[in-house]
Amino acid sequence: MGNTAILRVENLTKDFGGLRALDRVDFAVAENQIKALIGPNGAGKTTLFNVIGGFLFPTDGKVFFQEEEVTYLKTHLLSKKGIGRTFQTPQIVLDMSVLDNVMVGFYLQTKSEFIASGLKLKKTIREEERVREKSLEILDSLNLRREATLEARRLPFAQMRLVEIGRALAINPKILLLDEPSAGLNPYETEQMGEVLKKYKDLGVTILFIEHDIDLVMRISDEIVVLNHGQKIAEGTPTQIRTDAKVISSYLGEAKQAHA
Amino acid sequence: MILTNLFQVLFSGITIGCIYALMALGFHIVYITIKNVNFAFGMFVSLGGLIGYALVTQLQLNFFVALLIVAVAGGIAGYLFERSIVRPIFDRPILTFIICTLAIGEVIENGSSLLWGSEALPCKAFTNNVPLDLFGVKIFPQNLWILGLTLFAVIGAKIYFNFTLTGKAMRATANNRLAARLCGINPLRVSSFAFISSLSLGLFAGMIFSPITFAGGFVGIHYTVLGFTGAILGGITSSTGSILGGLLLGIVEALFRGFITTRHTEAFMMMILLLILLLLPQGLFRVRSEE
Amino acid sequence: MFGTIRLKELLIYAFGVSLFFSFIILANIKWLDIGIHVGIYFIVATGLTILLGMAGQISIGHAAFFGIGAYSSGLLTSTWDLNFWIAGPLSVIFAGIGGYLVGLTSIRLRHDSLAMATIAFQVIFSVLVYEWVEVTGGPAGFGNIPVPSIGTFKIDTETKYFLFVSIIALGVFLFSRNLISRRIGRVLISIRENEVVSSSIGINVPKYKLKVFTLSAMYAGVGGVLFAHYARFISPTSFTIHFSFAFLVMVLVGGRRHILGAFFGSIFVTILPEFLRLVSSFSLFPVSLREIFTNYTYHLIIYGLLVYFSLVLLPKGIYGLGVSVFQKRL
Repeated sequence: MGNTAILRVENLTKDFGGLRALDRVDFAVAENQIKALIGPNGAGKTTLFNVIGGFLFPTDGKVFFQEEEVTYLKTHLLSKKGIGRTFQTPQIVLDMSVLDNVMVGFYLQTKSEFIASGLKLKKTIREEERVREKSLEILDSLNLRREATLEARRLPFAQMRLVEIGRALAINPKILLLDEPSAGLNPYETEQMGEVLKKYKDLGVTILFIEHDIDLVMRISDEIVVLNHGQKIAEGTPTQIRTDAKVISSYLGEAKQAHA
Repeated sequence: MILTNLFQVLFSGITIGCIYALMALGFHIVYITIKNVNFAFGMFVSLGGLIGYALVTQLQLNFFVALLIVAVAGGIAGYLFERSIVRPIFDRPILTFIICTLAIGEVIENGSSLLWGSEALPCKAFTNNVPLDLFGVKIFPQNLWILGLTLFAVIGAKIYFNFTLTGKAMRATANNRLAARLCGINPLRVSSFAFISSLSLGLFAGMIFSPITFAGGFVGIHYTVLGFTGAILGGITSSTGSILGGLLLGIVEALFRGFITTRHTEAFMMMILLLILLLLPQGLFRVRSEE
Repeated sequence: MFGTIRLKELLIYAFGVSLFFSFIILANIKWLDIGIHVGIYFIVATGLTILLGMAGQISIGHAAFFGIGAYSSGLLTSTWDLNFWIAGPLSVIFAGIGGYLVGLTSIRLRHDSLAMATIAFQVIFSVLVYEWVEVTGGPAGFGNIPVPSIGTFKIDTETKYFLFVSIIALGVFLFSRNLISRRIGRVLISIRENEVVSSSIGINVPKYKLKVFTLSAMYAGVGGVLFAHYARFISPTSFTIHFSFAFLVMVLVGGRRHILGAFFGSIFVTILPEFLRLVSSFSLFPVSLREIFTNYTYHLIIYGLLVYFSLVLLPKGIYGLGVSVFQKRL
């Protein structure tokens, strides 16, 4: 692993009262790779995302972004640094158009405040135009150009997911944290999603994503981290994970319980 | 001399505090059920006073009978309120409920002023209101009635909540409707019950308070804010907390009014609210066992 | 969505312009008076629309900001002899400071607590102007507020004041429209929908809450200044919580999701009583209902019910109604 770690968590622990949601979790995401975070329900995956993303502070441990400690940094400052995020259900503004939803992601790269906007200064108009174009480009890359002016609530679920990714991309992130990007998507849409993720990896974005769809994970990931009961139980390439005894037992165990 | 004054003020404060306690309890019950605040509550409290006035001072009914009627009327009002106002906007954002209840509160208060006029009406005390003299402190029987009746209502409420599953059912409904349903709790019934008991308490409080202040007079919003303040002071998620918070608030108000000035009491109470919201949003008496 | 409703907006502008000119042509004192009130309330309601409709923050105490503007300007010009063109903007800034303070509370409070806090501020303001008799004249209010003047030209007739208010209202409208249709508008709407997600895009939510409260209060302050120098006599009764509720009615019934909602709302609230009075004066009108149509208390009840129904049935207010009617025609 010659690449620098763009994101690194060290000894991350999170307690909620008596419940230990994360237990000394340690791993790193190398630059420009796609890394999957998998594990049974309740394993702590979303909690991990919330800690990395600044929505929660850990009980112990540290988070490093590009080797800078960011454990206690507030969410909006983390976005400034280049961490983008999506959520388990697409959190887009249904009242706004698809285009507006992506344009709002360009917040950090624009500067017009109240007075400049209100007075419609030239620099505001130029900035707005620039943002609009870039947003349309993103929508293009996600095959959403046609839907740009539609109200977001009129989109099918799969496209809503893409809009959310589009907004996350607008912040020009160095790393994207995606929470179950394929949830609610049919096999065809899931495959499309996989292609989108690979495309953006090729464009230089690092991706860390939570997933339950093991096929998708195996297909597009460079590396996989497996969590169970808040602990990391395995980390490696898809091949390694596929044959890891601990992973098989924890997942098989789940499967056994499901069929019981 | 100053000690007598102090006791007089304290006694007055406990009296007001009883009313705030009842109102705070009313807010608590609704809050733990729908995690929201009924902004029309104070108008209903005022309405209780007005109905009491109509029954006792105008129709000369026996005050116990009137009180019972008012409490029942509160229950009915609560049921109607829940069916017609709360239910249609169940799944809307928090703000919708706030503004809706505020609007309905205005309707109720203005409607009341059409029936009873906009002036504050003086109400007859429940019994002959000759004050007793206890070491120089004047104890008015009406205040004793307020204390006693509040105690009665509070104990009744506590017994009901502790010995039935209702309290738990309300919290469960607030936390997760679906899960509550799966446990056999009907969220709609729970919600109905919450408003029935909340408004019943509210009208009840309004009636027993009116002989000391007045009935009516566009004070609805003040009752709303002060009842809420009492609940927040003690911890709106706890029934004991809300009650104690209301009591404490009454005492604080009386102390300020008695020893500093009457004129600015209102503004002072508002500052108390702001202070609590900013510094102590959890309240003083959060009882862990109720979580 | 923001750039594509050209035709509908055009129609509304046409309506507004014709309304404006009809007021001018009528030059009837009573209707000019109404027009001035509509203009003033429009400015306040626009500010509240940005705060409530766009940013999703509740304020049940906007009359207090309105009052800060009115009392400040009135006092500065009458008691302290300050020029209107200095006193006015200064008063708007004072109102903004009031908004800033309320904004500070909005950062940490949930909606219900924030609503209570805004009521608290409103009551504190009301008590302040009521009790501070030496300065504000107490319940009796104070008068002798001068008319605005530019050199020797005094804005002292209804017609002149109507034009004055209209110009300012137009400016306010254009400023607001520019504001909302761009970056800031998207930011505010995003905050309204989900604060957590907004911060994940890098938006500093507390900062914007502060700014929008300040801005919204300044709008109300502008309205207050215009009000004070028109009425030339003000008293605490014009700045109570019931007025705050009236402003809310304007925003909610007019349509809180769109910047033009305030236009319909302010017209509605100001003109409805007049309209009802007019209707009830027809000889064919049933006498029994006449009371309802003229008594202000009934109007207030109607407002309350309208707010309720419009929230339940019409989330987009009158403006939304017009839009959907329009869309059905296309």
